[in-house]
Amino acid sequence: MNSAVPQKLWYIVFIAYGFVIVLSALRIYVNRDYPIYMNVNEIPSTREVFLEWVKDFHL
Amino acid sequence: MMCTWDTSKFLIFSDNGIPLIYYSHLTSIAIFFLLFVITFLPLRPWPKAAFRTMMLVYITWLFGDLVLWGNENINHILFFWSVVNLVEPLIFVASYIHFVSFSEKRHITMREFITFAVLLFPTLIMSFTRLSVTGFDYTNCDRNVIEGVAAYYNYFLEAVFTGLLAIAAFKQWHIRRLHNQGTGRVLLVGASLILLLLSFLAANFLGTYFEAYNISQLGHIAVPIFAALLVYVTVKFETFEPRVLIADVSTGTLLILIFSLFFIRDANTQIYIISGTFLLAVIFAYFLVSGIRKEVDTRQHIQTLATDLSKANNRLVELDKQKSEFVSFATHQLKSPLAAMRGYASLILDGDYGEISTAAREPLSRIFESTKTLANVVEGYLNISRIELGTMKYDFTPHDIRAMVSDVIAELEPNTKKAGINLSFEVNKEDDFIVQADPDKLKQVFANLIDNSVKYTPTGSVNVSVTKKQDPTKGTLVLFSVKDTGIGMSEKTIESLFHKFTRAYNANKTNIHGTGLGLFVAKEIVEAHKGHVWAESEGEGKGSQFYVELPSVK
Repeated sequence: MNSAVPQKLWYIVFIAYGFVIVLSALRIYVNRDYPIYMNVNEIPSTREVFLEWVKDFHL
Repeated sequence: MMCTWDTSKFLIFSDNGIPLIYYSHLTSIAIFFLLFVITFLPLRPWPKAAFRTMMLVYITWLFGDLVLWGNENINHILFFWSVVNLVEPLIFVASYIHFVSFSEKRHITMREFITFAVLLFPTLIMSFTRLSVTGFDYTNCDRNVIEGVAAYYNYFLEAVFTGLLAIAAFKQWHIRRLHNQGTGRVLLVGASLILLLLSFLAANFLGTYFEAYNISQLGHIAVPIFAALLVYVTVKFETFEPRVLIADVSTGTLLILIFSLFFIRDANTQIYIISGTFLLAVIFAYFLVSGIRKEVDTRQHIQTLATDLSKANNRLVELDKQKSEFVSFATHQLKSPLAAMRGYASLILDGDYGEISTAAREPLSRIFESTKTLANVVEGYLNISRIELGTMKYDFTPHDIRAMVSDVIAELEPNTKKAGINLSFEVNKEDDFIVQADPDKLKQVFANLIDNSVKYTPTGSVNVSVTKKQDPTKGTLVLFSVKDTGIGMSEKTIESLFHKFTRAYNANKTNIHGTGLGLFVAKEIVEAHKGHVWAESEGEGKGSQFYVELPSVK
């Protein structure tokens, strides 16, 4: 456990971050499924969103 | 609903955000880019990988944040929010890795890597879900991303990584203090990194919780200043001098602040920035000018001291010369009466003045031996004063070393037999060992080295040899060596053995006679012969070897 981190693992980390950025872009520009609220009362609280996410395991 | 947001150019330039945002962010991006470029310069080696990552992540973060302020497009804002949220913790991780690689001179371990990976994994998973971006708040024409749990998780991570860095810095400081190593650099690098991260946290915190966005930009301006300090301390760590550091950093900060004025887009903001910069310039100028004055005063003081020291030194040289002359004179005066005492004692012992009683023979023998020792001491002092006065005269002619060594051994043999020491001489009788030598002086060296070995060998043997050896640079050399099985020497003793008035630490155990001048004189004589003399020993109680190397004339 005290050995140095192999170079390959660092590449995997960079690739993972790049992949996640691409996924974010796809979701925003292709799916366009983020809600846009025009009314303050409609905005859910962070807790509500979290509980809903846990319940649905909705990515 | 129609919202009148300005259309941005190049994603970031518009009148949508506060004007100060360009001042703080563009200045920071420019400085970070400059620091990133500096890492490619051929400066002294320093850990660069983590620092470069830190700079790139920071530039990404600042650009993303500028988009959030300046852009009017919902999709752009949502995307850059995800990116900003994703990369923010990496600034903290890279800071920690940079500190570890600088202060502990090591890469992070698998254990640390796995810990970071486990901690960062949730941010990766959450960044493209509603846990990072819950939605977009367009009520009352606001342009806010509704942040989810991921943002709070990030705050938690940032606190954890800052804490880890603080612990690592404290640990390093403590270890170095215990081992009496310098703590200044570790403290400065640790403090720069922690201040950098705290400024960043403070800038975000102030902006979010107090809606004091103008003040929070100062935090973003402080970040590159601390980063520049970090590079400075990291790169210049071996020539670290606090006063120079303060002067350099003050000037650097001032330049950064003046440079940052290019990025002010609003005339009203300009007056505050210029006032702040002016105030800092006054403070820096005061410190710089007072520093220079102190420096000039110190230099003048040093100049005076140097002049005084030079005078004192000249006086000391004069006194030393007078001392040598006095010693030379005094010892010359001692030589004649000593010779008379020694001569008469010898004649009495040989019975030239009639039969002496057995009771008188013992004290007379002691008188004879003591005068002999005293004569050696006087000769030693005379040699020293000749060397110091530069009056030692050499008469170089080609001589065979073998003959000289044989003579010395023949002279010393009776004494060695008496002491029960086996003295042997190894030499190739077919070969010549001719060197340019002053035979009397060189014989004195050989006699001194062999006599030393005999004296410091209570029991056992002393082996003398003369050989030839080839040296790629010096050519053919004649090597004289004396190897004994005597009391030996430590490395520390060997280092100072050929200095004036130095005797082996354990010399008194075997022999009380000795001035500590013999080897010094031997070294001077050998060097005058363009030769080299040295000693070797495996340690106390393990015998000694003395070598004389002289250039052969054949």
